[in-house]
Amino acid sequence: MNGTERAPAGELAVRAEDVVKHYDGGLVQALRGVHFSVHRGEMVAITGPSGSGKTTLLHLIGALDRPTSGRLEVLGRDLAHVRDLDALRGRELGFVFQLHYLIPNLTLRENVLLPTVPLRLPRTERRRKAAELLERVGLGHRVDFLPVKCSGGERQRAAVARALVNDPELLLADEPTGSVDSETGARILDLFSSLRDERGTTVIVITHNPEVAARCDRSLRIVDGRLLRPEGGEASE
Amino acid sequence: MLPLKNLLRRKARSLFAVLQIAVAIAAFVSIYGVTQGLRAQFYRIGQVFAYDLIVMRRGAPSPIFSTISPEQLEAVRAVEGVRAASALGIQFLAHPARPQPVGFVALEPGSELMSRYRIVRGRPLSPDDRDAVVVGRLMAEQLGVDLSALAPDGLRGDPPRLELVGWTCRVVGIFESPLEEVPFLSGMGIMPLKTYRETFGRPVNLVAAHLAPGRRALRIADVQEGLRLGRALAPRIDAAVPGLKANTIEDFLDGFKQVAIVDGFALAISLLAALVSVIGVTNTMLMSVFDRTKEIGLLRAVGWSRWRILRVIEAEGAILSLAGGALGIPIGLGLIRASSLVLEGGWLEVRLDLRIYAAAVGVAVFIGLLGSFYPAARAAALQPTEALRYE
Ligand SMILES: Nc1ncnc2c1ncn2[C@@H]1O[C@H](COP(=O)(O)OP(=O)(O)O)[C@@H](O)[C@H]1O
Ligand SMILES: [Mg+2]
Repeated sequence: MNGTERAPAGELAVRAEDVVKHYDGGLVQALRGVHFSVHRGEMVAITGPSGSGKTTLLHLIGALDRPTSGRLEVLGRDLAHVRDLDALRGRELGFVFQLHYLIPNLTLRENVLLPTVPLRLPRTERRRKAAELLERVGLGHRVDFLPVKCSGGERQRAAVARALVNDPELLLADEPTGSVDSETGARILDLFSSLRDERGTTVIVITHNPEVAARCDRSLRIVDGRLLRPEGGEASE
Repeated sequence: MLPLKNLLRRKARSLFAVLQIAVAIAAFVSIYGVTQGLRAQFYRIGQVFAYDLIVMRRGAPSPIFSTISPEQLEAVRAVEGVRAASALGIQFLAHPARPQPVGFVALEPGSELMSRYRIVRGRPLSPDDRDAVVVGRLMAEQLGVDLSALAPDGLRGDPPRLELVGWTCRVVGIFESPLEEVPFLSGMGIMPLKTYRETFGRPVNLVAAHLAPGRRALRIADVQEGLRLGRALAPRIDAAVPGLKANTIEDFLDGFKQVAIVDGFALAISLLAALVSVIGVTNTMLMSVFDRTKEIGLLRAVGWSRWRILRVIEAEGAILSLAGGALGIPIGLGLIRASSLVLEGGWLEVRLDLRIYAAAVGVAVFIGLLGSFYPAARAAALQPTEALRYE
C-alpha cells in the first residue's frame, strides 16, 4: 500500500485461509489451520479458553506477526504482499489490548496522539482530534493528566481513544474489558457498537465475557488452535 | 519531545550518562588545550629559527658546556650554503637582591640573531658598547628597571644602571621577545659579545648558521622547508668543521619530540575516555530500552516504523551527548585553569580555538550516537508481538 490510499471497497474485512502459527520451531502449535472470514461492518467476538490461540490470531490479523503458513487478507489485501505493514497498522487498524500500554510520562492527549505521529497531521487538527476523542470516551476533563493520575477504567478508555485516533477501518480488541469494571466495560462496548453503526467500522473483539459476546453479531470459538464453529458462510477446514 | 521526556523519566540514570560523557569531553578539551598550546609554541619557535642551524661542540651535554674557537667560527662561516653566522655566549650573573642569577646571552651588535630582538625602548647595542646591555621586557619588570630615560624612540638622558655582582652596566634598551607568545624569551638580557669574551674571558658557546638571513617562516610549510634545507646542510658543516655538530631547531629542542609524544599520549587518553563513555552510554540506553520494551511494542502496533524507533533512541543518545558536551567543555576549561595555577603562570600556554570546541562537540555527538547505536538497533529489531508479551 502507499500514501493515504484507503482499502479497496470489498465485502470482506478479514479472510483467513488455513492460517497456521507455530512458535519455537514447531514446539508450540498456537494455531493449527484457521479458516474464516469477517465482513466489513461486522462486529465479531472471538472466544475460547486461555492459551487457545486467540491473541495469536488477533496479532496475525493486525500484521504484528506473520503466519507460519496460510493466507491472510485484511481489508482486501494479502498481508504477505503488503510492503509497508507499519503504515497499514497505523492508518487502517486500531488496537485495544487487555493492558492499556499508555506511556507513563505522556499525558492522555499525548498518548492518544501517538498513532498520528508518523502521519504528519497539522498540529491543530491533531489536538482537536485528541480532545474530541477523549471527550467521546468521557475523559474531556482528563486531557492533560498523566496516566498515573487516572483510574484503571479511565486509562483503558484513553487506550480506546488512542486506537480510534486515525479512524481505523478495522478495530482489533484483545479482552478490552478484561481488567476494567463492568460499567467501563459496557461503555467501551457501546462505543464499539456506535462506531460500527456510524462509520461501518469492523470490530473483532476477544472476550471471555458472555455478555460482551452476546452484543456482537456472532462469535468465533477457538479451542486448542482450531475454530470450533466455522461461520460466515466459508467452507470449514 | 518524546526522546527528551524519556530521558527525564529516569533523571538519575540520564544524569550519570551525561556525567560520563562530560568526563570524556573534559579530558579531551583539557588535554588538547594543553597539547595544542605546546605545539603552537614550538611551531612559533620553528617560525623564527627554521632557516637556522645551531652549531655546538660535538658531544657537549648542554649549550653552556659547548665551546667554539674563533677558527671554528670562521670555518662555519666559510661553509657553502651558510649565508651568515651569529656567535652566541651564555652568561649567568648573580644579582645582589635576588636569589636567582640573571641570564644573559652575548651577541654581536648587528648580527642576524641580534636583529631578531625588537627594541621597544631606548636603543639597540652598538659595536662600541662595552658595559651596556639591553634587557627583555619581562626582565626589566622583574628587576624594576627605571624606564624614565628609555623612551620608545631612543635614549633620553643617562641610561639606568644595573648593578650585578662583579659587574655594573647600563641598560640602554628594552627588547620584546622575538616570539610574542613565548614571553619567557624576554626574561633575559643581551650583552655585547666583545664584553663577554674580554671582560668575562668566556668562549663562544654556540653558533647559529643562517641559511636565509632575514627570512621568517610564515606558514607551517615554510617551517618544514627550512627544516628540510637545514637537515641537508648540517652534514656539510659537520664534515667541514671537525669537532662541531650542526642541528636544526627541531633536533636542538627536545620539545619538538616531546610534542609528538604528548600528542600521541593525548590521543590515547582521549580515545580511552571516549571508549569508556561509549560503553557507559550503551549500558544506560540498553537498560532504558529493556525497560520500555512494551512501549516499543505498542508504538510498533500503532504504526511506528523500525526506523522511527531507531531515531527516537538515537535522538536520546544525541541529547545525552550534547548535554555531556555542554557540561564537559566548561569542566575541561576549569581543569586547565586549575592546572595552570598549580604549574605557575607563564610557560603553560593554553590554546583553545573554536576548532577544539567544535571537535569536542563532535566527539560528544559521536559518543552519544555510537553509544546508543546498539540499543537503538535492539529496540528497532524488537518483534512487536514479542515486545507486547514481554514480562
Ligand atoms: N512468543 C511465543 N512463543 C512461544 N509460545 C507462545 C508465544 N506466544 C504465544 N505462545 C503460546 O501459544 C499458545 C497460544 O497463546 P495465545 O494466543 O496467547 O492464547 P490466548 O490468547 O488464547 O490465551 C499458548 O500456548 C502460548 O503459550
Ligand atoms: Mg490472550
